[in-house]
Amino acid sequence: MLEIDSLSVSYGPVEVLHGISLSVGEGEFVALVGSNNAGKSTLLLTISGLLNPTKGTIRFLGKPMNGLAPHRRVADGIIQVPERKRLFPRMTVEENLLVGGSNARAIGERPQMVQRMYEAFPVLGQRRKQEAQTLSGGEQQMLAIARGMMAKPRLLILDEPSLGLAPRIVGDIYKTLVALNAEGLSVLLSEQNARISLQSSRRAYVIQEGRIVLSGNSASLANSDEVRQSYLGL
Amino acid sequence: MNDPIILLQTGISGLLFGSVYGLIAFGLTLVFALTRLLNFAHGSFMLLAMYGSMVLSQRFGIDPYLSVLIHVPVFFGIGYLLYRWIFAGLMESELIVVVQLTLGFVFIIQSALQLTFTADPQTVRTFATNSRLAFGDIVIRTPLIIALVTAAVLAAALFWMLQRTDFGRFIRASVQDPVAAALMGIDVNRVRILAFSIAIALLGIAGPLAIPMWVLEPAAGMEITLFGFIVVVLGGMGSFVGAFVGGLIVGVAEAYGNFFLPGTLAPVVPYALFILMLLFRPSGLFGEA
Repeated sequence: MLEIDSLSVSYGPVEVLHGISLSVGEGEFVALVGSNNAGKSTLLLTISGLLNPTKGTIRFLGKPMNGLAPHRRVADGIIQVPERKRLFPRMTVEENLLVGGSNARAIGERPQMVQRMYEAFPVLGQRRKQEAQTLSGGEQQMLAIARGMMAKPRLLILDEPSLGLAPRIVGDIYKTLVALNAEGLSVLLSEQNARISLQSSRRAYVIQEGRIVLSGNSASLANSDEVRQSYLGL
Repeated sequence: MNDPIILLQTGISGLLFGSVYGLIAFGLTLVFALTRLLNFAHGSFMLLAMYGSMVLSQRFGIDPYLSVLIHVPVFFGIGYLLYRWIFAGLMESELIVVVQLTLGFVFIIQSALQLTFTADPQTVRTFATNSRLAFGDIVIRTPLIIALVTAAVLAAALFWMLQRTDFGRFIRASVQDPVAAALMGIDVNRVRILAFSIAIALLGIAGPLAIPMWVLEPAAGMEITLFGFIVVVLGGMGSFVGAFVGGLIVGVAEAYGNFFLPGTLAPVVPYALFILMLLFRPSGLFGEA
């Protein structure tokens, strides 16, 4: 459903992504593994249209995305849960959800979706009138995912969903993502935490200094010497 | 001179007129919070609205208060085109570019007004200009009450819009995190254009409200802007409630300044208040510290 071909991205004169090709199929769970500054966030922001590539193409459901504004990609179903959650801090939990569900495809079912999110994440229901900035880190990540789900994603992109969270909460978050994927949602996520992302995903890409250096089945990548040494610390 | 009734009356009049400053500052706050643009020509557009009311009144006999009905759509349109053609392209520019450009507008509008209407101060009459209302011993000019009621209704509508409508939530979301707003499907540029247009349209209302209290002079635009900025800083940069409360405070400060100090010194009072605020609470009354 998402096909990226030879994508290059620059910040000013400095090229940071060098000809990246990657794909996510319908219903797949794909991980993008790499250390800090490898170019993961740059790639994900480019997919969402916040950065423009200098070369290469992005297609989603067969449609070229190049040059399309971020909100139009949301309308097509590419929803990103950004790094460090980026909630609307002084808006309530409920308002964050309402904004998430405001695109044309989602807004018709918005009230039902809000209720469904409160059922899936009861703590958000309890805190619905609280400002997002008053939530704990784990609650904030749940809200960030719920806000993304409100937008009725066809492809859910998550940038470092485990960042700054306690291991137990990371486990919960990934359980939620695996469950959503099992219901048919396509997922693409980036992680420094190679262990859990390789455990949860079916396929993975390893990105290093703006290039894809390895790709394949997550389980076999997790057993490869290179990944074990560089990313799993074994 | 220290008659308590007069003193009270002065304070109340200042408070009432402060609501007009609140409208000016609300627009500035909206634009600044969403775009970080400092529009020095903000007050000049209000002045333009006042001269517009003057023309409508002199040529067609339309009362300045009624001219609001024409100003709102016209100034909304002016704001829309201005943002679309000029400001949208300046989002990445250095502050100094925006300051120079909007100062340019100030002088262009000033010169155009001077060429068309001369530099002579002018007054425009409204149906309420000479009318007064008495509340016991306290006598208040009717135009001040019209200003307060109108501004209060507008403020209530604007706060309702910000808190309860999708567009209002889009505005707040785009203020708090424009990147996240875009990732959630908000067309942030559209939100900015509409908010800027609303801010300019509000001046189409603020102008006529101020007409009975002010003398029209081509050079007054900059002064209005600076008062607006004082109010914005006083209320706390980016706080919508602060914009209105700050407006009321500046209104009172100005009124007492005029009352107690000789004419040449009086305009200093709001600026002194501004400096005191910066010294003791730089984040403003409702600002995020």
